[in-house]
This record gives sequence, structure tokens and C-alpha cells, in this order.
Amino acid sequence: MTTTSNLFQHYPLNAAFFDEVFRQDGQVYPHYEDIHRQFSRLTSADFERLNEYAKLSFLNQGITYAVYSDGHKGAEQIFPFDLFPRVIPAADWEMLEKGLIQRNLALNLFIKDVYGERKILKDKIVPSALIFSSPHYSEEMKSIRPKNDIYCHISGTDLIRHSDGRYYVLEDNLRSPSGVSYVLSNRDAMKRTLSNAFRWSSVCSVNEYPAELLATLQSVAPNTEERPTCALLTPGTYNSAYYEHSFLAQTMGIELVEGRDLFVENNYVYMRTIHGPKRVDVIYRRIDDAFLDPLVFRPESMLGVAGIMGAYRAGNITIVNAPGTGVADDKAVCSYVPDMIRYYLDEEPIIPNVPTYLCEREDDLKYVLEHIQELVIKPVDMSGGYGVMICDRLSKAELEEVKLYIQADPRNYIAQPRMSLSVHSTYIEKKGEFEPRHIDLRTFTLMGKERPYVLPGGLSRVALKEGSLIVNSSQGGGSKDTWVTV
Amino acid sequence: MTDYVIEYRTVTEYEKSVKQGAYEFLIIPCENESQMVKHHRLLHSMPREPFTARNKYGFITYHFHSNADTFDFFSVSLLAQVAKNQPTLNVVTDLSLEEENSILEDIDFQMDHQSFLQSTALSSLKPGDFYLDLLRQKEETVGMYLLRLNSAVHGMLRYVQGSTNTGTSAKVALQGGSGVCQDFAHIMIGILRQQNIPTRYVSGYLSLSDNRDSQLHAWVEVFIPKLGWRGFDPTNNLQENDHFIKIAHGRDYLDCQPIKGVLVTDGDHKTSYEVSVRNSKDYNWFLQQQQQQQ
Amino acid sequence: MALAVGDNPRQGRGVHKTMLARIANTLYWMGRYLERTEHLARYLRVQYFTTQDAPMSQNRHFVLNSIVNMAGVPWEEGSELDEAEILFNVALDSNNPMSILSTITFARENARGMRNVISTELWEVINKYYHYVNNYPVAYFKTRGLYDFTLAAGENCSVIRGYVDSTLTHNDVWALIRLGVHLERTAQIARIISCKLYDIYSLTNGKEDMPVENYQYTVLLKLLESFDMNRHHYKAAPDRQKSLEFLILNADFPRSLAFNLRQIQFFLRKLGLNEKTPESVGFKVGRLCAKYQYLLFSEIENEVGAFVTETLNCVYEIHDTLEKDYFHV
Repeated sequence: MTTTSNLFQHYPLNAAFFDEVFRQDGQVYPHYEDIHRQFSRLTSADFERLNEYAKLSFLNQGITYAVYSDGHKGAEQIFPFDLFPRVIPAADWEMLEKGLIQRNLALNLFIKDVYGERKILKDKIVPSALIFSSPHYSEEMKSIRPKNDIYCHISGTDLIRHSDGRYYVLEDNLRSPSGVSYVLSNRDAMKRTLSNAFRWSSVCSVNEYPAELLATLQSVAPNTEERPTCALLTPGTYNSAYYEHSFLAQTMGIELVEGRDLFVENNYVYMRTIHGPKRVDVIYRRIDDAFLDPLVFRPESMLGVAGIMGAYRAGNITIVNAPGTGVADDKAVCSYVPDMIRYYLDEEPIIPNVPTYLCEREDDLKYVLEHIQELVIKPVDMSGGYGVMICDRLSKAELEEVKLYIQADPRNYIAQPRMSLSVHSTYIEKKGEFEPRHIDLRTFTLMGKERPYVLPGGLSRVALKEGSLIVNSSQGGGSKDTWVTV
Repeated sequence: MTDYVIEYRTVTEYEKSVKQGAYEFLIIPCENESQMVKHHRLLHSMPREPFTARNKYGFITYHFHSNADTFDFFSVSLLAQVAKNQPTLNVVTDLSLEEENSILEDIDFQMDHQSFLQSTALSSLKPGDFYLDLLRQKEETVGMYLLRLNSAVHGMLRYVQGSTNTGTSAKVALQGGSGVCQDFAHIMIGILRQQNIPTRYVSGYLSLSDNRDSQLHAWVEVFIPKLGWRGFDPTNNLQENDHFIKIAHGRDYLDCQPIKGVLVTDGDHKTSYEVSVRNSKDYNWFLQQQQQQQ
Repeated sequence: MALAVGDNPRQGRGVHKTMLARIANTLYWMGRYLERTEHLARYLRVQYFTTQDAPMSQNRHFVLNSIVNMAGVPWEEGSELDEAEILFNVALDSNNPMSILSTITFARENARGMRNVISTELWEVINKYYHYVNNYPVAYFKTRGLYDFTLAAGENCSVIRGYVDSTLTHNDVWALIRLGVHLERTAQIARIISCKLYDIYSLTNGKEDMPVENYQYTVLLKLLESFDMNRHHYKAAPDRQKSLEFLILNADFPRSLAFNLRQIQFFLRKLGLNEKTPESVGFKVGRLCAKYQYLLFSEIENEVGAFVTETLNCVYEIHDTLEKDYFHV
């Protein structure tokens, strides 16, 4: 079938980008044939109706997020959702799953090494200055050995697909990666909206995630005879990801607590309940390291729990993820992950990194300054797409300004070639038809139990603005359901 | 061996009552090759008993956490009897200069001592901040250098009580020209760490010869290749001797704060504290005097 | 219940399903706020409209005064009472923390923080009610909207209570909301009776004036939507004894003090908060209930005002004990 139906009639093909759905000759890839056929049969009006129905489903569920700009909280918004699912064939996924597990195994070994023997630093595979200048390095963790040597239990790895059709790792998120609730809600919305259109049996289920997460939390509980009590620690209702916190607590059936609900006595952590104190064994915290223990980190913060680090050191509580994991998701450190994989696992990396220039390295800095126009410049410790500079879109004056920033603090910047994120057919409401838009993929990996778990698919984020490469929800991004075929 | 009786007392009064509070005290002498805590007692005004925890360098802290009870007054006093031996003063080794340097430059050594080689906001100094002859000279062994530097840092500041506060950095103290023990310690740390010589901040009690009321003191410990850690007190231009009773060490003052607290109150507060370190014999005499007065 | 756990870390592995103190407090207050808006709206409507065609010395000033007293509007003694301003202040003024708008805003905020423990349906009706109040056109309210607005407010509250009972499992979450509802209702009934007694006193200057009094007792019953049931019960026109006895001591009428005290006791037991020490909330509630159970109206007839005030103080004390011992506020 060719692109002749209403919804696809003006669909442009661009050789510069990898289109997930259409070949350059306009043919549809085999794993998209089914869906494409279904959509092609719909008129614009039909599709518009479905689209409105899907939106309503999110509105009613109250799946919203808050946008921040300059530190002010804006209005709550619905995370835009696109009905055309991204499909990953089983064979591709098998490779990605292996690659993600490999990567996260190596990252955990690396974090353990940094807070322990420091072999990789002594062998000068990773420059030590990079580690100890990181704001996320935690001296506290030197005296703490987490249960089962797992530091990063939940990791979010961002993948992109370049114009060569290969997958690359864009960055790791090892602190509190968010977005998994959208994966589950997207699947729900798809099922409700297009209930009859698809054979769901041929798509990997994502519903196991909460049970897998709970099993992961329980598997790293300190030794107790009792069934461990887990709790999710949130900064509160005003946090932009509060919906996700509440969603995960509810689906796992554990308590959603704030810092003021917890206290420490004799190096054990307790919840305040109406029937007295109740002991907690595992805390899945969604607050930053700096707020965990006001006695240790920031005395002015009341979000955390005074004394919790002492309880952690005494081995009476497990904190998920461990403090100090951020030392490994610094964008400059990220570029060394392939080396870590070779060093710790003696394997070749299955998923390559996006090539990265560290401005801290003299040679790299020189290259970056000379080729700045072809590069994307990123601050090493910002997330959410903030501070990213796509240089071929900047004026000459702006470029000079960027160079000054970099030279003033080279450690703080990395540069990457402008990767051509793949594009995917996406429904554009204003035009009433499909157009290609750039996408990436946030995957979720759970470590801790004997068998690591990777959520099949993940969150396909889409840059809704034409030509935009920034997929973050805070900057005009939306998302798609992601199907891994069986 | 000398026996000391140490008393530490602190009182805080709050203008408005405190609903929730958590305090961590790092005031009890630690135990090592040259000192032993024979016994100690902690008295306090809180309705609930404190518990102990270890901080990141393994030192014992006392935690007072109040969840339900409100209070507007908080006092803690520690009484500890400590036996102190004369620590080793020797700073000279049979290592050649080259051997010493190759240890200090070895990446394994640096990684193992990284905590006390990294500059911190309070202790960071650059060569431009002080005279370059304060750096180790080519022909100087670490031990001899430390004796020279200890005396030089002693001369860099005038000791003036209250001239700086707990947030004053080495650099600012140097510019001001005066300071207290922790400023001397931070300056010494700042100069040594940039030369890859591991140095740590030490908090503790100092027994003054004339029995006048003491204060918490701060000095440094420096790692001398082959010998290990040695204590230096740049404030008094002394090497650590049996008058120094150590509580804890850390990267700088922030790791050794005697009291840390977080609390919920909207009023002001007033804190006072006093310290006394007495020779055991004197202490018994002191107790007798007190009893006679009563 | 003390928070101390002692030296045994095995303690704190209790059999109870976990109910966080903070969440418990929020649920309880949600119940209280919802109940409060209903009483405020009803008081406004009944007091305003039943007295418009009143026979005697009724005047606007008296009505407004009564509303000001009941709703706790900050109004300077002796200054001119501005009707539109007072009605706005009680209903839609976001600067008055006691207004209907503020109260439902608090209730909604409480519910928002607990989406994971209440039903979606319950959340949605609370949310809908909030939007109704928040979007109500102020100009229309000040001129013609009072009746419509206050009636809708009452109906919304009834709907929400219906959802509380029919979409929540009857567990701790439910019991805490209901505990809040009945405690607030007890307090509101007591306050309404007190206000009315004060109204009557100020109308009659303490002298006997049967027509005026009886009319006001009718208004009192209507303020608590109990006029019809009162007639059914006594089969006679209401007077002082019949109305007060009914609202204070009738154990079967859901807007009497006796009924609601027993409900408070029931929900505390349901929550397992029934300690028996003299300082405990279980003891305080039990004692008050026992007193009500074997009380004759004739015993309090001459001091109804003082008796109701005493009950109100007991209720406040019960609230304080709850917060201190269980909610750890």
C-alpha cells in the first residue's frame, strides 16, 4: 500500500532522516503494515474523533504535569499523546534489551568501584578529576555498601536512532528517571481508543512493570525475617512528577510518604501512622540526594528525613536509587561507558554511544571551538533538555557567546555531532494529517533481582514542533505508545 | 599516660517552642592508639534518650530526635574521662626524596587518600593566595617541611577570638589577617592538599596548662609517607602531644561540626556552651572544693 | 499513642493496615470541610429566606447579624452591615478562610493530595463542586444568585457524601472521612443552636414572647432541615421543648447531637482508636456519649445554652486529642 489515503496524502519523505514507518520509496516497513492499513482506512473525521477521545481519557484520569520556567510553577498541562504507535520488531528489541542490561551492569560496577577500590581510576581508564569534580559525587557513599552491591536499581537510558538506522545511547539517567507512568497510561489509552483495531496479543505487555518494580525493591531489603515494608518518598503534591509518584505507589500497593511522615529512632526508619510507628525497610525515593537527610546534606530542607543516612550506614534501610549514582550519569562520564563495559565485563558494547567531545580535554576543546557550527553543546549536569544549544541554528554573535561560556568552564560542557534523530509519522492536529516528527526512546531497566528486567519498549518521546529535536515534555514534546512485537 | 576529665556543656533557649527537631552531636572523644575513653556520661534535658550513630568516617555521633514533644529549652552536658598517651612525634623517615615523591605522585596512593587531597570550599587556596616559599622546596623531606610550614602558618594570622565565623574560608581569613584555630587549620590544609600531601581537619579538646576554661580546638593530621598520620597544631605551633584529645577528623570544619540541628520553629534562639579539660588529679581536687562550698 | 519505639526494632511491625498519620489527618479534615460548607450554605439560605416574610420585628439587620455571628465574619461591632458584602464574604470571598469557597478549596486540596487512596469518582465530584463554586459569577450571586447557589452547594455536599459511602471500601479511609463529617456536624449543630438561642434572647430582651419565640424555634428546625421530622415525631407544632429536645437528645435523628456523638464513637472504634485511659480520645467520647444516653431534657431545660456550650467545648477537646495523639500534628 502506498501513501494515498487522506491522512497520509501529503506525507513528505526526507532522505536526511531515518523514517521509522516509510522507506525512501514510500513503501511501509513490514512491522508497520498492519497499523498503517488500519489508519489508511480512516477518514480525517474518524481519526479526529479518536484523537479527541484519547485526549479526554487523559484529562479525566488527571494525567498532567506542571511546567516550570525561571523557577515559577505554571499551569497544569496534559502530556500530548499521539495515537500512531512506534513499533519495534522483536529482533531489534532483543538486541536492545541485551545492550541495556550490559550497560547497566557495567554502570553499577563502575559506581561500586568509584565508592570502593577505584580500580578503574587507578588504571586511568576514566580520569579521576572527572569523578571528583562532579557535584553528584557523594563522600557519604564511601562508607556504605548497599545491599547486593546494587547502586542504581532503576535506570532510564535514552536511545536515539540515527540516519544510518542504528540505535545509539544519548544519555543515562541514574538518579530518579521519570516517565514510566506515561508508558502505562499510554498503553491504557491506546487500548481504550482503538480497542478493536489491533490484535493486542502480538504486542509485549507493559503491565508487569509495577510488580517487577516492587519485586526489585523487596529484593534489596535489609535482612529481616518479616516481609519487607517499602515506601515511595515524594517531595509532595506540588512536584511536577507527583502524578507518577502517586501512580506507582498505588499500583505497587505501597505507601506514598513525604519526609514528615518518616522519622529515625535507633538507626531504624519508621512511618508515623495512627497506630504508632511502623518500620520501613526500603525507600524508593523520588527526591534528590541533596534533600535526603537535612543533618547530612542541606540543613534548610525539610523534604527529607533527619538521620536516614545513619540508618542506611547501619544497614537498616535500603535507599533506591543509592545516593551518589549521579556521578555516573554526568554527560561527560557517559562517554566513558563503552570503556567501562570493556573494563568490567570484557565485552564489546552492544549499543554504541553518540560520539561525544569533552570540552575539558584540550584536543576536544580545540575541535569543538573549530567545528562549533556542526555540534550540539550540552551542559553536563542539566536534564530535561535545558541549556542545550543546537549550534547550526545560532547567529554568529550567539556562537561567539557560546564559545565564551565553554572556555570559561570547559568541565561543564560536552559537544556531540548533531545526530539526526529518526522521524515517525505523527498526527498533526492543526493540519488534520500525519507528518514526520523526530522521536527518541527512554527505556527503563530494573536491577537488583537475580534477573534484570527491561520494560519492553519504553517511552517514545516525540518533538511535536516541526523540525524540532527536543522531545522533552517541558519543551513541547509529546509521547507515543511503544510496541515491541512478540 | 595522662588522665583527663572533660566536660562539655551547651544550653539553647528558644524564643518560640520547637515542635520538631533533630540534633547531631559530635563531641565525644574517639579512641585510637594514643587515647582511650575510660568512661563517659551524657546528661540532657530531652524527654527521650538519644541514640548513637556513626558518621561517614566512623566517628560516633549522638542523635536527639524529637517528634511529638515540644520544648523551648535544650541542654546537653558530657562528662568523659580519657586516658591519653604521648603520641609519636617523629617525622623523619629513611626514605629518599625521590622515594617520597614517587609515593605522593602514585595514582593508587592518590586515589586511596582522595578524600583528604580534594580541595573544599572552606580550605581551598591557590599559590597566588600565599608566598610561594611556603610550598615544599626541592630538597625538603615531607617531615621537615611540615615542621617549617606549621610554624609559618602560625605566623600568618593573629589569633583573635571572634574575628571569623564558622563559614569563613581560608582565603578570606588570610585576607583579614586574623582568625581562630579552625582558620589556621584550613590554611594549612589548603597549602598541603594542592601539593598532593593528604591532610585532614581534626576537632578535639586541648588541655591548657593553666586550667583556664578551654574551648573546642581544631588542628590537622598530615599523612607522611611510610609513617602515617601525624598531628600538627598551627594555631599554637605545636605537634600533637598528650594535651590533644581528638574527637573526629574530616575534610574540613563541616565534617566535624560539634552540633548540627534541623528544627521547626519560627522564633530566634540563644546558644551558649562551655568546655573544660582538667587533669584527673586536679579534677578530684576541684570536686572537693565544690563540695566544701556546698 | 506515643511515638517512642524503644530499643526493639521488631516493634513497629504491627498487624494494622498502615494508615499514615498525615493522610489520616487529611481525610479527617476533608470530611470536616465538606460538612462545614453544607452547614454554611444552608444557614445562609434558610436564615435569609425564611425571615423575609417574617411576621414581627424581623428586619434585615437582625438576619445579617445572625449570619455574621454564625459564619464568624470579621465585622466591626456597631458598624453598618452591608448585605451584599456580608453574603459575598460568607460565600465567595477567597480572603475569608471560613467562606464556602475557601472551605471547598481546602477540601479539594486535601482530596488532591490523596488521589491514590480515594476513588476516582469521589475525586471527580469533589473537583466538580469546587469548580462550581469557584466559577460562580460574583455579580449574579450578589443580586439574584443566593438561593440557587446555596441550594446547589447543599446538594453537591449530599452527592459527595453519597460517593464517600458508595464508592469507598468501608475501611480506615472511609471511617476517617466519616469521623470528620460527624465531628464537624456535632460542632455545627451545637453552634447553630447557640446562635439561635442568642437570637431569641436579643429579640425578646429576655422577656417572654411566645409568638416570637416559637417562630424562631421553627426557624431553628428549618436551619437543620428537621422541621418535618419533628412534626412527625411529636405530632404537634414545635415549641422550645420540642425543638431543643429533638435536636439535642433524639438518638435516631441524624442531625441531633446525641446521634452524631454516637457516630463519632462508632467510627473511632472502627479505626481501632478506642483506648480506655482517662486522657484518651476513646474515654472522652465514651463519657460524653454515656451522659447523653441517660439524660432527660428536663434536667437541662433551664440551662440549655450552657449545656450546649459545654458539649461544644468537649468536641473541641476531642478534636485536639485526636490531632495530638493520632495525627501528630
